[in-house]
Amino acid sequence: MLGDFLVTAKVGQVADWPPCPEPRRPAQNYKASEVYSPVFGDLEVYECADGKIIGLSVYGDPSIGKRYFVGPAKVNYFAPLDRLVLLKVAGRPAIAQLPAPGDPEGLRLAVIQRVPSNNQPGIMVWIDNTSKSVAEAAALAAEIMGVRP
Amino acid sequence: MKRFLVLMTAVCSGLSLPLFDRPEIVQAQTPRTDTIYFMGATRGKDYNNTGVLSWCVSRSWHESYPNGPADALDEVAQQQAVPTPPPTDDQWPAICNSDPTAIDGSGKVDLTTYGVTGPLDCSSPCISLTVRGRSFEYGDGCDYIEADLYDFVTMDDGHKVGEKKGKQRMIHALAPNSTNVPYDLPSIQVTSTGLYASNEIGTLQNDTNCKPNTNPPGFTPGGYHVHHDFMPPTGSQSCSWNQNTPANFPRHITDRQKQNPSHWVHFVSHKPGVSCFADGPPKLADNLLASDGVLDGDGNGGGTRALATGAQSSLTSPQTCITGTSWCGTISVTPPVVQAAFSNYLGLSPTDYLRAQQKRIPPRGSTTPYYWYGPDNGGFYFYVFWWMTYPDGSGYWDCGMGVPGAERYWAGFSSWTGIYTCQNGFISLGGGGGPVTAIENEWSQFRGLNGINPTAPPTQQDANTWAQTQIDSGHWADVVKPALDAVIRAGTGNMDMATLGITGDPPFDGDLGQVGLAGVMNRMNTVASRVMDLPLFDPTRADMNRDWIGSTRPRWSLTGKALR
Repeated sequence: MLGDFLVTAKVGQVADWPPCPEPRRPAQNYKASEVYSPVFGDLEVYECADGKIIGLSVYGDPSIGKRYFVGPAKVNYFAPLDRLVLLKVAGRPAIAQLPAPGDPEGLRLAVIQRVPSNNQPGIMVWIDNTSKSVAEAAALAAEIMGVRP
Repeated sequence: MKRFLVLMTAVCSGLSLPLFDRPEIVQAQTPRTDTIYFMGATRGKDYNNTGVLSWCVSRSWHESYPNGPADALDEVAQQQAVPTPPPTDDQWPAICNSDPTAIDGSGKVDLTTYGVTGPLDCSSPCISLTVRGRSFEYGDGCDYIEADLYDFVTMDDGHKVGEKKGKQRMIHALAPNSTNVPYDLPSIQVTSTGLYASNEIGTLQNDTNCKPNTNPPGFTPGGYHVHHDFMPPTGSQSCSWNQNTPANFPRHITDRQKQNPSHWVHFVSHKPGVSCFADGPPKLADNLLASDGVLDGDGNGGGTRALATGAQSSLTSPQTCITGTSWCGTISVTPPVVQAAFSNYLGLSPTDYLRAQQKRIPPRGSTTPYYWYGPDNGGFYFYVFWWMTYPDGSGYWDCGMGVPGAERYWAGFSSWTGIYTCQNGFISLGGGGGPVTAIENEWSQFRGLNGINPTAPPTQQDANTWAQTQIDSGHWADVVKPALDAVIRAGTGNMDMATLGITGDPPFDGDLGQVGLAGVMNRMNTVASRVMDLPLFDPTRADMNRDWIGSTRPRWSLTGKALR
């Protein structure tokens, strides 16, 4: 554990998703979802059979997303401890994987917008592989969360 | 005396310095135009034993991000011939599917390219692009391989940065030992007749953890695929790109052939040695130093003064577009540009300042001299080029500095003062070779015209004091502004702007840096196509597979419709 995060350093070890019954179907009102942000723009979204949308991702440069999670706030960051930084973004716990030397686009950032509880999943915002500074990435994460940095 | 004559000959003949035991420098020429076609990323399958790797489109062109270019294809391997009558949608997955565990290799992912350049260039292969890979998993659990493309001619191998020429991306795939750490992939080469190359870069994944907003059937057997897209560089006179026509890649089409020249997915066309943002710096100078520009501020250098005094750590322009390029966004300026301007004021040319700051190291295989000073400032210069890779048993070379497997460079110089080299002792004209540490050591002793030391620029603090003093004494327009203009205008691309502390949001090199930039992306394609006047290329008409057909693979007819 590193602060509020469980750093797994492994592929396939991101935070667990809440249940999503199949089959999926096209979502009509995804912009009303908690995991939608106007930063994402217009998307083609599929929802679970029970009408839930469990996460939205935009594979731009950088790739960004907002998602539900259950259990520990796992992040698959892979770096020496001195490149893992705990911080707060708009008062929420966050972790940054700082870029290695010679890797100007290597910054990753994850923010726990909401901690999971017994009756609702947590919400995590993530930004991967950006050339932005930590401050700039934090500002983007705050924008995705819809709060002031 | 004989050596002296050789040296004199070398000086008189410019770059062609036949000195000692070292590589040949090639004269700079008019930049050629290279076009790299990216073929299917899925390995495909030779299902009918003809030697052709066949693949199918499970989803036609679609976006990877909102309002971005719809340049992503979902690609799968073709497992068997298409029956008669053609399969229904329900039957289609039995014909076309990928299996991450397939032992026939059909679950593999390749970076397959066809590189072609001008008819008078590169009769033997020329390296066009340096490729840096990155593979891991996004925060939503989706696996990826990204292949960043950099201009080979200007690549700085020391800092692993260069002028961006786009990015190929394969989602739902992983490279071996993926750790999110960038790594080198084989460079991309071109020839005048066209050159195919295919390198395995990873394996398709059972990406079941990748769940957000995906299109059914998702990642189930029959649904595994490679999402293959291209993130283009900034469009300009020197860089353009496109994707193949929708007619060639409709949903559920079969028999896309990996080696068929007309079945390319994306292409990027660029001029080696020229940044996609080459036209940008003079226009940035015009913008930033206009009477209402952020460096001017209020007509008397108020913006620059705010930077120099620390009243503002950076200045940000209003939204703007750079004409002649596809770039639109905001420009951010930070104090290093003041440092560069002061250095210019003290006598170091803007180009020398930039080169000395960057100290670019040429990549393996480069034949281009990288000037750190010069090439001719009153007869003084310092350049570095790649020489060779130290072979086995070379540990005693270069005064014991050789490291087998590491790169060996040569520094050629004409210095105001003497430089100690292990090969030639203490000299001011000539050169010395070795690993980067040897080059750095020689560079630290170099002095340019009038003994100037380009390795020791003025400090930021001194520069700030200079700018503030000059502006306060009424010398904004005749001293500070011209110096700023000179250093910005001297830039040749994104790397130079970064050295000056001038960055774009989105970045000038085409890395979007932000999402929701529909206008930018659409303009990029439009401007690039308009500027370059490039029609969608039909390589079959250009007889572009001449090199490839000499290989062990079956030949295509010139119509591209049948195997020979």
